[in-house]
Amino acid sequence: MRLLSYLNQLATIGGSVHLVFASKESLYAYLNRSGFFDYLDPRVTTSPERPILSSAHFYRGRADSLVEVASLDPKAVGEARQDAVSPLVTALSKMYGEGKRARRLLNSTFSTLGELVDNVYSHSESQLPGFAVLQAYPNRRQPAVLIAVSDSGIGIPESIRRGLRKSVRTQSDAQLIIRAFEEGLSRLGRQSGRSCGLPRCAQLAAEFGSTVHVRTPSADVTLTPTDSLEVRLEATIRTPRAELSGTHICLEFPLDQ
Amino acid sequence: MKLAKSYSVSMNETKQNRATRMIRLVEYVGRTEAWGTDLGARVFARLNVDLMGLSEGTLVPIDFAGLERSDVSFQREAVVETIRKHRPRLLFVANNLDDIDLRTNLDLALEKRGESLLLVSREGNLEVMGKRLAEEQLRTLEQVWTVREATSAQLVRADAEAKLSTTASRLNALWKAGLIERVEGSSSSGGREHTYFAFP
Repeated sequence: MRLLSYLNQLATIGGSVHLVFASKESLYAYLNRSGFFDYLDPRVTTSPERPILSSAHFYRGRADSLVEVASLDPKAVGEARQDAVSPLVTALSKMYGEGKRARRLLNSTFSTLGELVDNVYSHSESQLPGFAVLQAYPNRRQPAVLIAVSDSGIGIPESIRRGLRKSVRTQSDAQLIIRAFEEGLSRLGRQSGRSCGLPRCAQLAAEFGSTVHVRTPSADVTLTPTDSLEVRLEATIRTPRAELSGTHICLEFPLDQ
Repeated sequence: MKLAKSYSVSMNETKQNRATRMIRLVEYVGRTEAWGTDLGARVFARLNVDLMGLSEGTLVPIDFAGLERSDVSFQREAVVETIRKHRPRLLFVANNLDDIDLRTNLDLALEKRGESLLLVSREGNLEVMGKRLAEEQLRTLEQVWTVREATSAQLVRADAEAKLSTTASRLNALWKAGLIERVEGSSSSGGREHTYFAFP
């Protein structure tokens, strides 16, 4: 998703973007199946050329492990927003099946997905679509479902910094991201109650032993569950290697029954 | 996750003959799952229209039956903002909130907004969700739940250590928090006096 957002960002700022695949096998086929090419800016050229038929379009909803990319159109309003995410929710329901534990996992995953997608619509301030995708890994030793949500907006730190008092505002992007997940920060202030989505995602990730990766234009943060009995995450900060707008979040939930 | 202890409460009728308007949340959502600020705001708008005309003191149970899952943002916009708008005029309780995620998400949304809400379990137990009440406020709330209706003077008479001004201010805070009902009346001396009622 990050690559898709990045290529579309480059095409939008007027760069000449050419994407080269070593062959039509593996990665090219996987991206075609996921719907990558359907949402790739038409100005981006590829070699081999883009597929004539989108296999995501043709086989939509038929894979057990991969769910085609959902495009989060910033112009979508009302039910169109819900509809964009519906296939992902349907797929999650199928992946988890029945049972008490399955229901718990499904609802936690749904809750996280909802918050992350909502943030794209509510805070990214981008004219470019965001994306969400699910990928299940049922055959791993610890089966998991990966959620990735990506946008081309202003990024979490820039979004929340506006409403913060100076002492907090001047903290680094990475620190603001960590605080946004740990305690909740909102540009609308504490009283607004608008800062509970990311802490809830962090809480669920910690509870299920999931690592959360957060990439914004100038910060790359990994939140990892601690070994302690307390449900919390600890952060690792890296400096991003390429200029990439927006917020890109990726995390996994267990898929076990 | 923070959840207040639950209380087993007698559901005897109070003196009040209370009107009730049940809100089946799933009917307002139109699907069994709900996420996001946008959908929450649209549900709020619909609820707002329906609740606007209700008379003061109407009991409004928010029924979660049929809603299988939702995120915090939806609950904040749809539920928390609705109760903020119509309190203390209307008396809100939540019921059929059995799912742990739905419940935790609502609890978090309430707490972040500094709000509380009564949750009625299937067994009829009451639980205060959201903002944690101070011990002394909780004690006063328990007293009202026990006697079902009381003035501050009556509660003070039942508790030798209580002061009238403190009890009155706690009752007022509980009323503003939407956890008890307040009806204005007059005391035997002719002055204004409020009677507080437990609900549901």
